[in-house]
Amino acid sequence: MDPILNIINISKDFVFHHQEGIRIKVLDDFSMRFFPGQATVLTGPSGSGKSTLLKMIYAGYQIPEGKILIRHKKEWVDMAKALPSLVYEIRQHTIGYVSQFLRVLPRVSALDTVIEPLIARRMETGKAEQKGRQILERLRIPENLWHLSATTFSGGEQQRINLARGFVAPYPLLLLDEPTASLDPANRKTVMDLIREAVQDGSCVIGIFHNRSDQKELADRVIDMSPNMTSQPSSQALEV
Amino acid sequence: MSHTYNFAYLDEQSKKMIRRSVLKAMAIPGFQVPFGGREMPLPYGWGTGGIQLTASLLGKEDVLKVIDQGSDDTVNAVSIKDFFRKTAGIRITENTPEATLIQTRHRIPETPLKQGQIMVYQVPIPEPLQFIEPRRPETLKMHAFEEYGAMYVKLYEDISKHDRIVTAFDYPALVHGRYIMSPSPIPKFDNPKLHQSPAIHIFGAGREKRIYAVPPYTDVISLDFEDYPFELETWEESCAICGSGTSFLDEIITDDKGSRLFVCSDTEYCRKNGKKEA
Amino acid sequence: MTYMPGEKPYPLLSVRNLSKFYGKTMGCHEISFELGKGEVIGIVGESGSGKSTLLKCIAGRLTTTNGSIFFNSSYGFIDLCRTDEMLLRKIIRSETGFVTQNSVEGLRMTVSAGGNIGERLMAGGMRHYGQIRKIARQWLETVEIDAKRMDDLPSTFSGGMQQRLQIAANLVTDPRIILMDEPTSGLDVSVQARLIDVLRKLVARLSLSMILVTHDLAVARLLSHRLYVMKDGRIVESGLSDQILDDPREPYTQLLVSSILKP
Repeated sequence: MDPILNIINISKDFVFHHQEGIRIKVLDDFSMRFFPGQATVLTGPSGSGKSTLLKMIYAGYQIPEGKILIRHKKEWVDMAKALPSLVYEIRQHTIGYVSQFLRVLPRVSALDTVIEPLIARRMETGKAEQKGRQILERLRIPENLWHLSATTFSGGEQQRINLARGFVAPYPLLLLDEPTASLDPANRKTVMDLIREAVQDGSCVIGIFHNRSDQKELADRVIDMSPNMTSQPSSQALEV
Repeated sequence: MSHTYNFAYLDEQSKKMIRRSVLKAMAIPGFQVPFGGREMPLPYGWGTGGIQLTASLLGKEDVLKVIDQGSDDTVNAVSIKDFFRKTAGIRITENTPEATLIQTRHRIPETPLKQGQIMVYQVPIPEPLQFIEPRRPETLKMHAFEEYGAMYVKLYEDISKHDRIVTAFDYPALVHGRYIMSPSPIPKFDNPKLHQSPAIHIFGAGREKRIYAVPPYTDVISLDFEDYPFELETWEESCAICGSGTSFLDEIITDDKGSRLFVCSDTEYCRKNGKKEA
Repeated sequence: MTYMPGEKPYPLLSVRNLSKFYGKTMGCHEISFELGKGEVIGIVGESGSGKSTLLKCIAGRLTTTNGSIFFNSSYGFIDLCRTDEMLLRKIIRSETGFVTQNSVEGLRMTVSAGGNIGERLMAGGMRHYGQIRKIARQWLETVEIDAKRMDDLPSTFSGGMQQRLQIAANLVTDPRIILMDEPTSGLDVSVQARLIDVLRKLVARLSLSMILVTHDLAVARLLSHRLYVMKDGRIVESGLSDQILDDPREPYTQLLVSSILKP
């Protein structure tokens, strides 16, 4: 099977100019391929570059070295070089990214926040709202909150709004940054179900999970990002 | 020291200069041509622009009529007539068809004008765009580039406030399909008289030192909206003196109990019409 | 985004080596960037960084000292710095919109709200009062101003309403590009939120192409696809909005990002 994502020799360091120019190397010559219908769990201590890797794949962080090739509408696109308009299109259709934090907007209802990815795909509003209601229900958001802005919601509610938004539309590649952190058991199970369903439907999932049992439950593959563990055999990289 | 004025007061060089501006104004209908306005022996606002035009255009054979708000015998009209009688010695008339040059403040005679006649208007504010754009360099460009949207804003505001265009005087008009012109504070009732008029109409602003003109047989179209077309004011009354039902009427308060009369603003027309009726 | 002159398809806007000097003082220097159709660019930086100067050059409100501003207008792909004034004014008036921080500059304060919205329509030749009213009413509703206020003067409006009115008065003729100079500055936070929300909806619904100058990074992130960071008249860093704000590389950008208070 062809991979959907092929990461080739990426490196990443952060320089903090206002803190005596400290340079922190987070990723060093990292290469890896990812396939549809596969769930990969990233492990490693904090600071080992798990989140950085996800953000680089999403092009939320700059990609100074190496290639991140993603299959978008049957074409290979290097996220490091893609035009901004293409990056936005890829984010709309191909890569989903879910963190545990919601960027809440005042005056926008929870339902509208959730269905935004569908509206961006030009789905008809009625149909999008129907899907939005289904997922809000599944994540146990009380119906009387749906039409309120999430600014006033509790942290847990905001997190679930964010998850609903992340899972309302299918993506061939789904990046999850601790989606289950601090969820109650019932909602945690729902989110795990949602992830499994996505994988079954052919999505490639790359996730960071704090909880070891979550890791075990989902992982088709575990990648330990600890320093000295990340050097991948270059044969894994697919040249295109 | 004995002293005689030059014919019609102004020196010949000044007259030539003003005539050149008039020619340019005739060549570009509705366009405001700057001219080197001279000091006249009366204050700005009393018709210095009109008087300079009249002085420059008068010949010895001309017959002059002067009206002020339609009247031949108000102070302003009488004084200007005296001025030219004294400095030019030309014939003065009240009879519109007989006049070759008519200087006016705020009216066009009711009697239709004819080819060969010149109307000279006294203009206080020549710039129709001034109310919305006070900067002269900017209004110059707005005219040059035909940026006339703002003119309609004024009419729009009229309708939105009063449900009709209430601008009754100095009603802006498009001349020869190109320049928007302030026709001086004549009532909008007189605007149609400018359209395709056989006479020459020249406007002089003394304070602003600008001249503009409408040559004979030129389109002068009052601005309006498709659904709020330009309309003339009408009166339920007829003139209390001559009985005319078609002329522009002035309202006159006759006592302190609120009694009122409506009479022709054009006194010469009223007199003639009265005789005809009688 | 390298673009060679004459290459197609043209971007909506291509600014090349643009410089503006006020006498010997530099306003902005050798600025180059492009804007695609439907794209929102944020220009951020502190006061005096030259971001407003840059915007005013693009808006035709300042003459540039050097460089080019190519604009994909209905008259073709033309350099606004080398266009005769008549055409330039026509393009600026009908194909660009400019929303300023100071609504007194952007609105006619002695003309009603409806008249302000209607002016561009009338300038474009619309001569039907009823039609103008209808469109003005729709736009007031779009920017969340009660249509009953249509005949009121903008001076009776709150600051936020004035800004929203400015936006309506600019968008009414469907300009190809909208330029915004600190539209949210000087407004209370709650008023800002409403303005941003209105803008966000308009951007999504109408696929607006926009250059937004702001010193508010939160506003910039919310509305812009890409950001340009300016300092001392030059662009120091540019990229996708989240890249610039989450992964700033340049010392100045890091300082700017780390200086925001997060409630």
